[in-house]
Amino acid sequence: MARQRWSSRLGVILAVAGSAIGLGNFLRFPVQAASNGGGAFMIPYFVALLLVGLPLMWIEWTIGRFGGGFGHSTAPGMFHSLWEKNKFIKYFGVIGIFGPIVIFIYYIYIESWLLGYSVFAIIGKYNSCTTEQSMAAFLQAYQGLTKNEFFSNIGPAYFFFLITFILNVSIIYMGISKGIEKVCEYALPVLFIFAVILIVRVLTLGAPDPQKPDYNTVNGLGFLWNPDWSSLKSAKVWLAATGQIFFTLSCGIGVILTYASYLTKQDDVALSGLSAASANEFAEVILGGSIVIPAAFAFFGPAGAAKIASGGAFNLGFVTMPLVMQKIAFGNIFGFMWFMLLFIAGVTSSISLAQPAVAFLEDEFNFSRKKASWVFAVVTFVLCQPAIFFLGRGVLDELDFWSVNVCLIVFAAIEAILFAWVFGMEKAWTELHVGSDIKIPRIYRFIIKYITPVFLLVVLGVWFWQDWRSVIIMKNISPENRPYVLATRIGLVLFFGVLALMVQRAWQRRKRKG
Amino acid sequence: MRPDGWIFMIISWLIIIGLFTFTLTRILRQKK
Repeated sequence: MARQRWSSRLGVILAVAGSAIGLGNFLRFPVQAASNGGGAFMIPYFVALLLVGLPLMWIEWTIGRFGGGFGHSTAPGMFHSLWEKNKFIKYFGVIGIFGPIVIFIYYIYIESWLLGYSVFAIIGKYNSCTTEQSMAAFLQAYQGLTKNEFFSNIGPAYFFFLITFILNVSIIYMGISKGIEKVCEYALPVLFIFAVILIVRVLTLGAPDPQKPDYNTVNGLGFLWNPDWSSLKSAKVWLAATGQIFFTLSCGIGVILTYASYLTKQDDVALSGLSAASANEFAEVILGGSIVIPAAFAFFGPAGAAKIASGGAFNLGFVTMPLVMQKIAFGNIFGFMWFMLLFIAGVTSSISLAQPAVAFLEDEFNFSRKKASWVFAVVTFVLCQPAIFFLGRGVLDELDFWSVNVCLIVFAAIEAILFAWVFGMEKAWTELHVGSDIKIPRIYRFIIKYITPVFLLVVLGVWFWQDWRSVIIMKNISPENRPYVLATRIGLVLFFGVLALMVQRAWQRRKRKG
Repeated sequence: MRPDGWIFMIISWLIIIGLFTFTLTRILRQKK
C-alpha cells in the first residue's frame, strides 16, 4: 500500500498549527495569564517556550519524519526505530496512541457543545438567560445534569455530539491530503478572520456603561497584562506557564509524530516546526489574549473579571461570553462567531487526535484507510459514552487528568531522552538539519540534550512527590463519585493493556513476515 | 492599563509577530 503524503508544505504546517490551536488558546491562556501574574506571566511563559516548547517541537517533527522513513506513523514503531536493540521501548510508545484516543473521547463531546451553542446563539435560545446563574443553569441542563425550561433531557446535546462525531470521522476517512490537509487549509484562515472580527468588536466597545468609565476594554487589557512582579517568586506560576506551553503546542501527545511521518526524507522540519509553533503563539497571545478578558472586564469590571477568571476556562467560554455577547448590538451574530471559532479550533485539534490510532491500524495491521477509520469510529463511539452519560460523576475530569496531566509529560520526557541520549545528540542534530531551511542555533544542542529532559523530569518528579498519594486514594473526589472514577481508572488500564497487546501482535506479525 | 502593562504587551506582541513574519516569509520564499 502506497504511503500517504502531504500535498504541500503549507498544508502540513497548517495541519500541525491546527492541531495545536484549540480551545486552550482562547480560553485557558487568558485565564492562566490573568491569574498568574498578568504581564509577568509572560517571562516564565517565554522561558518555557524556548527551553521546552520549541525543543520538543523539533524533537517530535524529527522523530516523526525519521520513523516515517521506516513505514511507521506512530510512537511504538518510531521508538523501536530509534532504539532497535531494546525490546520494550515500543511499549512506551503505546502512550502515543493511548493518550490521543483518551483525549479524543472527551474532547469531542466538549467540541459538540460549541456546535450546539453556535446554533443557540443564532436562534437566540439562551437570550432569556441574563445572569451568570441562569446561564450556568442553561449549560447544566444542556449537559443533562439538571432539567429546566430549556432542556428536559440530554437529547439535544447527544444530537450535536453525533453530528460532531460523524464530521470528525468523515474527515479522517478522507485521508491525509484530501481530508485533514484540505480542512485545515480552509478552517485556519476562517478561524483567524473570525478572531480578528471579534477582537475589533471587543476593542471598540470602549466603556459600555457610561456610568462606569473605568470598566473599559483598555483597562481589560491591563487586567491581563499589568505585571505582578511578586508572582515571579512563586513556583506555581512557573509550573503554570510550563503547563500552558505544553498544552498549547500539542507536544507530548504523539500527534506531531504522526503528522510528521507523512513527510519525505528531504522535507524540512526545523523551519516547519518553528512556523507551526509561531502560528500557534500568534493565535494564543495576540488573538486569544484580546477577546475574552477585555470583554469580560468591560462589562463586569475588575472584581467581576477576577471572579470570572477564577471560575476557570469553561465558565468563561460557556457562561461569561454568551452573557457579554447579549449585551452588544448584533450579539447573536458575534455569539455565533465566537462559538464557531472555538468549534473550528476544536475540529482541527480532534482530527489530529484521531489520526495516530487510525495510522497504527494502517501501518501495523495493513488495514485500508477506510477499514481503519470504521474500526476507530466504532471503538471510540463506545468509549465516548461514559464521558457523556457520567459527566457529573467526574469521568470526564478523570480522563482529562490521566491523558493530559500524566501521559503528556511522561511521553514528552521519554521522547526527549530517547532522542538526545539513546539516538545520540550527534545523529539527532544531523537528522534535524536534513533538508532544513534554517540553521538552528547551536545552543539548542545543549538545551535539547540537558535542559529539556531535566526540566521534564523535574516537573514529573515534583508532581509525583506532591500528588501521588492524594491521587491514588482519590482524596479530592467526593465519596459518591469514587466508584465511577475507579471504574474509569480500571477501564483506562484495560484499554492500555489491549493496545500493548496489539503492539505485541503487530511485532510478532512483522517477525513472521521477516 | 499601567505603562508597564503596555510595555509587556507590546514586547510580547512584537516577539510573536516577528517570529511569525520571519517563518512565514521564509516559507513563502521557499515556495517560489
